Amino acid sequence: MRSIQSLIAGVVLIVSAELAHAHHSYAMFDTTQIVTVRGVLKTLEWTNPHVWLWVEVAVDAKDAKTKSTITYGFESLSPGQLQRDYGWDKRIFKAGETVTIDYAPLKSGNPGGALVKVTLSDGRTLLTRFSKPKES
Amino acid sequence: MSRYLLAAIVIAIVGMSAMFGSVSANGASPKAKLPDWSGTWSMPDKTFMEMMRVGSVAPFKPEYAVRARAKPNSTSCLPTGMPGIMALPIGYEFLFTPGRVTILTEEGPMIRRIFTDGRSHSANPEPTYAGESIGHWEGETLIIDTIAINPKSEFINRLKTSGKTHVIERISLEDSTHLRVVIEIDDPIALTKPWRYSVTYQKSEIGFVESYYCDNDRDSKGEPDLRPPEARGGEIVK
Repeated sequence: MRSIQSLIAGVVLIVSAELAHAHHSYAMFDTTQIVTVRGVLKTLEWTNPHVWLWVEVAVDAKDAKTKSTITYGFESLSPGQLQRDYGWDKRIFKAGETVTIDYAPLKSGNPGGALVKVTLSDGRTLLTRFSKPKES
Repeated sequence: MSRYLLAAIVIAIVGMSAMFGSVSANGASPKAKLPDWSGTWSMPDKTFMEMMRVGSVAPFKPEYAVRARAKPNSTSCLPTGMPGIMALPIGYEFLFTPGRVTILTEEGPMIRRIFTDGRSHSANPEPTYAGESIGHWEGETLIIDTIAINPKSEFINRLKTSGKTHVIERISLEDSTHLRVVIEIDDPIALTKPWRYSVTYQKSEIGFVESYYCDNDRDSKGEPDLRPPEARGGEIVK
């Protein structure tokens, strides 16, 4: 399985880095692009100040040195915001389920980023503040 | 005296005492007149984004806005403080007890104590994140006067208060599911003129989600801490 399914370049998130977040600048994320990755949900951290999803993503055989998977971390909003404003429920998530994640990647290149959208294996989607319909 | 007359007198006495009792209960208890703000209220995330835009065009002195902008308190797990605490996408609860309104916020958890017992501000109040709040009711509107806000507290989005910030809030129901907070901020050091804005909270069906214990901060150092959650006590889906 290819680790990165597609790169959707040129999708600019509407919110600026300055205004994007209550807790910190989004300067560490490249909000000019949304990357999509598919993997196995390992852990959900339903915590303040932010919810984090941890997903194990298979590494291309040619890139793999010692490990066959890399764990990605995806940061979202707070549990309160996600429940009240975006209809999330932590019980939706099941460890071991294959999920597709749209995210704004870390500029550093480290495995992770700001969560944009989660697509569950049955096709249901979970949106966040940064979710915008793809227009192209 | 006929039995009928006696019965009529007894009924009249009982009726009058019930009537006076009712009048007395209403008159003696200020709580009985207060509006119903029960439940949990929150500012929708879209309103918060609009609030950030409003904050960016607020009448701050340009030199102050540059000088007082720093790392947000919440990045270090500190309270946002007054007045910024009232314009966040978090839950709020309002508790009425005699002589006092208490606002619980989902961040911090920061508690605001608003004294409505007729007292005045203290002579030399200790500055805090919540400040010292004295309130009174005008009809069904709660008016709060807050001083003694410490200079670590934020106006909005990383902009610190000056230590001379004075806040007047007017809080009232728009209807049974919308609560309006009109905020007027006066600060001769930070502002060119008083800054007045309003936010509207919605009654939340979900309620107060949880206390905001900042126990998984991965962003304090800029680049997120990507160590696995097992090492940090996060909740793990089984």
